[in-house]
Amino acid sequence: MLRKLVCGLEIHTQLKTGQKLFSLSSTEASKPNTNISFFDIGLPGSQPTLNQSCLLTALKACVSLNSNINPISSFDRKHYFYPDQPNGYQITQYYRPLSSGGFLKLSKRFDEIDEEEKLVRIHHIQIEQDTGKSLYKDLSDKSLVDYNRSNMPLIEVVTEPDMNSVKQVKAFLRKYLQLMKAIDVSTGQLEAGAMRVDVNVSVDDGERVEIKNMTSTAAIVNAIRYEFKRQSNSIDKGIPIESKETRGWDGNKTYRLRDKESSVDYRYMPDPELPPVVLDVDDIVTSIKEMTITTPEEELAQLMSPPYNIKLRDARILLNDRNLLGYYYDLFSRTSAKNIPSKYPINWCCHEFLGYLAKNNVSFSKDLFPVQQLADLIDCIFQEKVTNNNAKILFEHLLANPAENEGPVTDLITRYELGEVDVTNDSELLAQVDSIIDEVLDTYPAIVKELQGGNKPGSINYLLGQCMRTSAGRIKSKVFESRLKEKLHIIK
Amino acid sequence: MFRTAVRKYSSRVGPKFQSLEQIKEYLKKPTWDTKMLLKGSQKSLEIDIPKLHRLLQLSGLCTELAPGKEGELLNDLNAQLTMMNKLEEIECKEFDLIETQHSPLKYRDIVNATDELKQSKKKGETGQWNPLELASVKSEGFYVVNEKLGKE
Repeated sequence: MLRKLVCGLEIHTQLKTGQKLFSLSSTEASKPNTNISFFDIGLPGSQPTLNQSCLLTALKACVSLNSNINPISSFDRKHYFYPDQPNGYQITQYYRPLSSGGFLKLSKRFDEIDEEEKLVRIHHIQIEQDTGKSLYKDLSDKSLVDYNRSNMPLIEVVTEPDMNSVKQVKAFLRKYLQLMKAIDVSTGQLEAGAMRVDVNVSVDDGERVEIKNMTSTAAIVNAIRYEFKRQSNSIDKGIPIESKETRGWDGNKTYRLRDKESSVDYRYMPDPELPPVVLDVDDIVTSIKEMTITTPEEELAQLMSPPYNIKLRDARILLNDRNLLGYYYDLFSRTSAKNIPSKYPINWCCHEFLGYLAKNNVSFSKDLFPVQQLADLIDCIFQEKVTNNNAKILFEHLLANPAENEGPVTDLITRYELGEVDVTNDSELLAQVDSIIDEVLDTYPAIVKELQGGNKPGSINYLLGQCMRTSAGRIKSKVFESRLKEKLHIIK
Repeated sequence: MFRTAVRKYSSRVGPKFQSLEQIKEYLKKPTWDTKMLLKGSQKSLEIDIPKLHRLLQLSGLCTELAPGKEGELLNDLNAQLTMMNKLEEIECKEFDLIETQHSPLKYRDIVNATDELKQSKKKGETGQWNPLELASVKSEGFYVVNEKLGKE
């Protein structure tokens, strides 16, 4: 039986600002307990002052999500006791958030959802401070606390329960994060805690279950799948989900944290130390909109159209890393100036370069391989001075030994003897080609027999591969191919 | 809010004072008492024993109370609520809400304020103090919390 899934999200996004929300201590990653002001750890007598830079960043997020900025918003205290919360309360916006309403539109073309279009409505966006971080190193009753994160600026984006599939949730999160990165609201570094998400899940209009505090898209997707199955099974057994519940995610399953009865009473109260935020909304919205922001969707459309003609998948990879995107644009302009087809730069950026980095667990940096060197290497392939395989060998060697990546690429190809050999007018080399082919044909008589019998014509590629391997890729495959066919024909 | 209350309970306008002594004399005789806020027009008691224990728990305080303490706390909390209810009953028509006294921030105001941000040593924002110096127990740069104490 097909059951109905309903999901809503509460996304906590760390704002990309140099200083914290209610103090000006640094937000940079550093040794534990070093970026702390008196207010950050709640020393008596210290008071909060709203950092306007955080306000501005949050306002940019509101405008980009089509949310209506409220002319007056204010801060409230949310009380609960926890060692990583030194004031005994978190400053948030409970009664009057920064903005209300809004939406993010998903589409089949850019977001790979099943529907042509899907509108996910935003309920509101609020500013709030982060807490410190507790670490549990062993099973003792002691925990270690780092207050560097305390008072870091966050926005909480609360969506309406508009998503009905895991695909939609995934697409929404990807688009949201790309948008926040594009407008410089978030670093997008999930592994550094840039985003934490609570998901509300209900099945067949049952009561909603909230899964708290997930930090990666994979965790969110898996938790929703698990929870959907769990609730569906319960309904199948005749036990509908009737009470609100808060659950956690341990990587394999959701587990009960608390139910409605034992829910925390946060005793919200307006923060008497912070004045309300009173804004000239028209002026602010107009000014922010005037800053020409290319949305990720516009950028995707641009990359997928001429002259780039990139596939959606590769375009997304580029958008995920602004530095890589800049490198790609640079590479593209250099290769297109030499009339090299657009498939070369994207293939080398997204597949060869990133593939090598993933294999070696290295993050991308444009300094790893000077863009002009890569453009020259691609040019050599295009001009058939080096085979694609040998270019790859050289590329990987130079990435591993950056000190050797100096001088013209053509010189490097010669130095490492990786260049293609022109055999057309050289009888000695042609004789070598023939001897390589003969050796391969002798080694694989079964394949030769199949080819001669007219079976499996594709297996000639295997023989071709063996010839290329023996010649270390320095002789064009076309030379081997035509000679191979000739010889097989002769044999035939 | 407190000023509002004062106005409400001392709104009689008397003759003009002629000397400092008259003013001192007048101020010696208050026309109202804060205790008035704690009595009268009391709605039904809002804090009962289960709520009291829940509040103690949420505040991280001990729920095992000495004899008589429970009643004392119930009285105090209900008196506080009575005061809040009384304050809430006061009409504030003649007073502006705080926010309307601020002129709304324009985009430029926020950008200018952002440009003027400066870390203050007095607020401990410059990283020139060692927060761990205040801790008696620490480990590898971290504060150490004995969670067992919380559970007890």
